[in-house]
Amino acid sequence: MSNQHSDQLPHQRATNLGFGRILIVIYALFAIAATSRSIVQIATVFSQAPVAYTLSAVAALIYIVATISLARADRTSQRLATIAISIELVGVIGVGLLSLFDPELFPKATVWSGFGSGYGFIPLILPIVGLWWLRKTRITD
Amino acid sequence: MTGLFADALISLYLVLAIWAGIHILINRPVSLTFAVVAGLAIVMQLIFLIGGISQMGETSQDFSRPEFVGYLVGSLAIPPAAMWWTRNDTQRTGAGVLCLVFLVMPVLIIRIQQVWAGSLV
Repeated sequence: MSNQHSDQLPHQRATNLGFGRILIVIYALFAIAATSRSIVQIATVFSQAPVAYTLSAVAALIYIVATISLARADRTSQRLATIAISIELVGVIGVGLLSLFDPELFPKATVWSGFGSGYGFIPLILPIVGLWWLRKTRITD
Repeated sequence: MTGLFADALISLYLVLAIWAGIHILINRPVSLTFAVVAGLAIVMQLIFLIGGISQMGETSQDFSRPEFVGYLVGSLAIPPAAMWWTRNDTQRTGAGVLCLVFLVMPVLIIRIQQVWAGSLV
């Protein structure tokens, strides 16, 4: 495991250890679910709700990037994970607000609609926990 | 897609989740017996996939077939991936990962059944 993040200082905790392993699995599950669903939606019914289905694809991509970068746990990956998870947080709040105030924009639900209410609000909680974990395990110079 | 086999598989996953939960509490990695039972669940999941695709070929009912196959294949990949991911884990986090995954699996099976029943994409 140590060779995967050789540019870390020895006393620092990696994003892929301890609680981070559980966090990575949650992100991986969301990545698999969102990617599979998005591929089917775009391939079969894209014209019904292009905005919603494009957003689903963006969400899937963000989950993939977050999963891989949290698992790699080196300095660059931590930065990438921070960017991806920040975009995720902005996305889930933005789409949540838009789906609330302009529901016509999203005739079909996305993973982020209603602040992730379709998934037990996990999409809203996940980036907050993710950013907390990245801050806790941050690699400093 | 519904019936005794699916119910047995869901029950087995819940037993594995509780079992992993106990390992979290006692702060020990999962045992070889756990791995064997998890292997049985994976074999049952494979049978579920084969049965599902077989039944899909025989029915004319209207449902999202790509989504159905996607869920069947995806759900087969998750437990082995979790077992591999935690294979050398000596902490309770490995059991935590397995507990989470084996709690998610029943939800996936129910989702597969919903797709089979014809819910929209």
